Amino acid sequence: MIRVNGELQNFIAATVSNLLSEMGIETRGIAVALNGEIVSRSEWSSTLINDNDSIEVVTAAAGG
Amino acid sequence: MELLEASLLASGSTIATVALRRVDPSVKGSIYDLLGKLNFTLLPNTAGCFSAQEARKVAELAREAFETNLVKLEVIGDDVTLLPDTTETLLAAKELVQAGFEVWAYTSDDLIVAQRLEQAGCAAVMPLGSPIGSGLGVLNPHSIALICERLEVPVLLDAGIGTASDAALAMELGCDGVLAASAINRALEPVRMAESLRAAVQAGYLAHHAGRIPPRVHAEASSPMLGRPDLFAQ
Repeated sequence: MIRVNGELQNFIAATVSNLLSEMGIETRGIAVALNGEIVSRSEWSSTLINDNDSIEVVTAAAGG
Repeated sequence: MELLEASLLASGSTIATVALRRVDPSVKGSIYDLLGKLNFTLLPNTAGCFSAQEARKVAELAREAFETNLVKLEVIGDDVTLLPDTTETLLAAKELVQAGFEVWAYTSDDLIVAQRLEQAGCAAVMPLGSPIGSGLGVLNPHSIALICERLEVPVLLDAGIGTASDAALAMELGCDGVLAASAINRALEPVRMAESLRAAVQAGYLAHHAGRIPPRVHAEASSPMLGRPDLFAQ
């Protein structure tokens, strides 16, 4: 089990890239943090996801 | 999303600030794409942060997400009043400038804090007119005017605008621009309010540069006394 944006989920994804495509997330204008550390776009495909990891996927939202 | 697009266009603005929030895959349409389509400059903010450490992290996430060094730094000190924590803001500003960010700092209407932020290397200082979302306008025009007078960097009024006259006043006091969010998106007719703010900012800017007359206590006739006709001559 991994935690994605606060929700416990069962994903088969091995890497951050896999996870984003499995979730059907449009990758323009997003950023990813894995256990509180930012994973840059260039590292998405090489960054492995392990059991109990916590992942935040964020994007632009309206608000001043 | 259509309403947002129409409001953005009606405002005449070219810069829009956005918050950073968790992706919701079920939501259709992206604000990021919309702002790109409209050729707006994206100004990510750190809304919702309560410490310098948190703000720094959010700014870095935003830089990663949007490929921009711009950040509207907001560090809130109290979740009821949403007033800025100026101590944490100054700390975060220094760190972010060091890390290569172009920092636009949301702050109180305190001149000395505004000066410290300028000295820390902020590209713009954004004092509040009144608390976020309050619509109370500019509560301390004297403080805002002082900040505008004493700072070299652009001063943008952030927070508190409720209607057009608030924006016009901010510009008359010498601000280089205003930020509006709630004033538009919570108005009954957001597009019309956006248009009114556009006109107000233009009016206030013109008035500021036109050099207003000094206020005075007593009347001063605009017609001369000299040359009045004598209509009751004997």
